[in-house]
Amino acid sequence: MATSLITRVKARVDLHTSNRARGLIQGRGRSMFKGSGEDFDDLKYYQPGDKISDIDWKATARSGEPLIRQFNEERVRHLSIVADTSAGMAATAADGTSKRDAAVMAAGLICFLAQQNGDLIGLVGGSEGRPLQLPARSSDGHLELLLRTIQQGTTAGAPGPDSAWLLERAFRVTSRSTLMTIITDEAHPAVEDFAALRRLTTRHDVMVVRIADADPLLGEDLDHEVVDVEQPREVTALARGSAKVARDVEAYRRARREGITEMLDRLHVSHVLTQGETTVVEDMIAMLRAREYRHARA
Amino acid sequence: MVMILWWVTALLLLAGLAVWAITFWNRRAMRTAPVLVANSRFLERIPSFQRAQRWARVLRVAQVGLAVIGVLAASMLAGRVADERIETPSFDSRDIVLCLDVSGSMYQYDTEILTTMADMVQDFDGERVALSIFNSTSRTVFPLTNDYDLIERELREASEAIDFDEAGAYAGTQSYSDEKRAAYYDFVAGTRGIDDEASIVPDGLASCGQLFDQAEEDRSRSIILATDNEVNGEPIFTLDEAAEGVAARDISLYTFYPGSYECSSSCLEELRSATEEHGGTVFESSDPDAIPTILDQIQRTQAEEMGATPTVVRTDLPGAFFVLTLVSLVAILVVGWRSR
Repeated sequence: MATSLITRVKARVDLHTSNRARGLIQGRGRSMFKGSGEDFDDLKYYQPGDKISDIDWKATARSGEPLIRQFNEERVRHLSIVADTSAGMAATAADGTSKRDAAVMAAGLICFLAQQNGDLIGLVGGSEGRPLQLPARSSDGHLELLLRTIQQGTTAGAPGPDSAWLLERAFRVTSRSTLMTIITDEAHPAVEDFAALRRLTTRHDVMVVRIADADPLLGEDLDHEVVDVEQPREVTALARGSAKVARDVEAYRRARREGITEMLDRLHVSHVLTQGETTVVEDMIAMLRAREYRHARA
Repeated sequence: MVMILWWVTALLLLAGLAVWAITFWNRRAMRTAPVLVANSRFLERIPSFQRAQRWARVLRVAQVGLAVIGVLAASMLAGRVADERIETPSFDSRDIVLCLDVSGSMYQYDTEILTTMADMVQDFDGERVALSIFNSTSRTVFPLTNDYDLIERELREASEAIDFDEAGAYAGTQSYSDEKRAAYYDFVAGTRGIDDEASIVPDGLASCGQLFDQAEEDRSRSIILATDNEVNGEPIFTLDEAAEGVAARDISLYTFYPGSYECSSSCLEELRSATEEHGGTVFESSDPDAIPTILDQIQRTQAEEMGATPTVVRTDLPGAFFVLTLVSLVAILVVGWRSR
């Protein structure tokens, strides 16, 4: 443990954002946290899941759209990270780096932002046979442990992805409403998980960070074999080099990506699809800014 | 079919096996680190991908098969597959006179000699053959000639005609068709010029010796004399004189004696001494089936005398394996290019 993971993440985040990252998730998820009513901050558009009692009826009447009052959260907030630590996350990301490193970096950014406020942050992950769970804590040691747990839990030997189980588990073990960041890959949460995800959004403010997979054909790099972590089978050079196969595969992946994007948009879940470790910090900050902007517009 | 350099073939096949074994044991080491990807299970559902996979598999099997065929064919080619024949240099300057005693006791042996000779004629190239038969007098069936069609035809006709048990026919124990009878009497006509005499062997041998022409040419001359030497009558020559006359003309005498009929061992003794004194050879067998072996032996003896040792002649047969190697190499290239 030459350098702690959190330090490494901090260095990256600072490099990308200097101080602009600060305050990114301040005032976030207001609707999910009980405002004290003491420190009125802002109005924002009503979103499904917001409490109806928070609606500022006068403002709503003025603007013609449902608005709710936001208050500065004075209490300690709860954050949670739902990390996909299946074998698939040990594979290669679209930019050629490890998806695991990108996941750790994404979790690290959340941890870093939570650390600024002293928020509590917990972890849900693992698999049905070997679930991983960390309670919500805020100490530096805890954050480091959280990142290490994600890093070490994600191995090629782990079971395959089971997003249905993961979402169900996340719903069951985090009874308190949290700002929940789901870190998974481009194929998850699957469109079949729509119901589970919707149920999750009723309790939590959900963000989804998806890490794009490497091309399963890698047609330009025939010197290296391509092996699926779940299903090791030989993909022949002929299939990998074929333009038609590449076209069909790309069409399938685009349809899958778009299906998931559409589902997440429908649930009003902030989400981002990032290429890997090299882009994850930038993409997440952009997502958080867009979220902030959306909130601030109100 | 033999392989002249069979050890080269074995060596190449071993080398091929060794190369395969080395690559097989090191197949992990030769592989570059694989790129791990996830969520690619859907590939199985893409028809074009499945088609490409199947096609690639077919091409690979073809490649391996072709490589094996190529290596096998190349090593066979390297081993020099050849046709091996034991060839005796031709006796193209050989004259053979068949001198057969056609008395009643000899008909089985004569038949066999004629049949065997007829079979051998097909392999002749340049030799000349004549047939002379005698009983009390001598008849030349055909003189020395190298018209093998004629020789064979005559020998076969003769062997059929002579297959006639005259004593049996007289005694009534054997019955023959009229045609057969006529053929026999036609064939032996002229061999009974003197009544009440039979098997005048010395005179028969002497007249056989007269059949050789081209005396000035350097040719190998031989007489194959088949007789039981049971002389009934007064010959002009003695057997010894006849043999001497033959030997004086540098003719090798091969005598076949089938065993006594009525005569005691004195007949054989006389025949043996007369033949061997003048450098001839006597073969003795009461079994007609031994005749092919004896004729073969005569052939060999003659070959040795002429200094012609049988040699092994090998002809390379590279055609099939050369084509196979070439085709498989071209096919490997085509398949290899196709599977890129």
